[in-house]
Amino acid sequence: MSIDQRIYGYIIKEETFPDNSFIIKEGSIGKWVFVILEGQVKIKKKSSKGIVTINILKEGSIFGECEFFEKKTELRITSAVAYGTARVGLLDSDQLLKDYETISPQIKGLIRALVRRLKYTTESVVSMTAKAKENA
Amino acid sequence: MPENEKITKTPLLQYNKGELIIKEGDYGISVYKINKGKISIFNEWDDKKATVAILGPGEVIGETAFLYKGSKTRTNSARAIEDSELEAWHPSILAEEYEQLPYMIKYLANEMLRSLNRMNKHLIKLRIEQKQRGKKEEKAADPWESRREFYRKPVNLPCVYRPVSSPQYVNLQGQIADISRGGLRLNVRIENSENFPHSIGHQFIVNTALPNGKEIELYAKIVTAEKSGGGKRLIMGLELIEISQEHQKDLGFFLMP
Repeated sequence: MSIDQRIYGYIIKEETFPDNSFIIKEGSIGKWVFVILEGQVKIKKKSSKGIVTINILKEGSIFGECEFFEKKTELRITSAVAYGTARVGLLDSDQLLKDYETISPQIKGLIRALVRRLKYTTESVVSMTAKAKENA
Repeated sequence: MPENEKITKTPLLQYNKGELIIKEGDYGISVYKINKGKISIFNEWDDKKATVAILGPGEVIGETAFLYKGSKTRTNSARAIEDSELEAWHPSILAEEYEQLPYMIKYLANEMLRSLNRMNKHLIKLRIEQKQRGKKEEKAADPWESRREFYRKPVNLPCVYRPVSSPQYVNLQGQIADISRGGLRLNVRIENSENFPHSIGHQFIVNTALPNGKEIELYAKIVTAEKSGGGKRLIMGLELIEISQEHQKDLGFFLMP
């Protein structure tokens, strides 16, 4: 997947992470949104049966966006770990916020509902994965 | 379109307590905003029910089918758990606005939708696997279902709670004196009732960690309330209204004698 030039316009910093290093740690505070420029990133979450990988993201994918859309500061709900060497871009939060402020309350409500749904579904996947491990 | 014109064209819908608003598996792309009342969002599979969320005024429901542009059926059901008023948003106006979103916001939203899609597929796979592990095993592992008595376990658990209608940052503290699958007894400082109503019928969202480390959240309604400790404490009997399936199980295990 090639990355649209318009995305590059939002990148204020690029960083390279070695294999297995944390880009985001679950439970930490942060609102940065990232885009993968090169390589892959694993999304992981703690469960009652240890840490579970819930998604592997590729070039062009975004992560850390859930917390961005929350009104108040929220702890990171998942970890993001480099899977092989990963080069990521940090998106300009101020610009994103300015964009977000231009949209109607209806669409804002829609996006927040989407965030909530994604969080819940992720939680369900993690708890069911843990349960499957328990019974294995 | 002028703002007020939009408002006059928004149909308001009234639902009585218990009425179904959206049925999982149906087609439909209307999006609703809750004006008044309380809506339970839930999932059903096999003969199980899982509460996804309980939503109140200002929150939006029906977003997923809309964002999938009607290509998918409703992923959850929604039921009014109080008399409720909903505002139905015009799907085509909404779709037009969505199309005009700033590039990056739309990109983020589409990415979330993609993740959601993947998570949903994953969930379906996990549920099928769980089903294959056998229903028998499931039933035995669910003390909630197997117990018929409302056994009350005396405890001394610190908890935080907030009135259902209050903003999320409100965190009142209390002690749970006993808990059963039907409710709990909550002992709080009388000061808590000065800023927020603590009378019969009011509903709280209660969060606590069970001694086994499991954190649970439940919705409960005050059924009894009496002062104690020389008027310094308030002891309330709360009846459970809603609890997620996961938390219900955790509580069930904890209540096993």
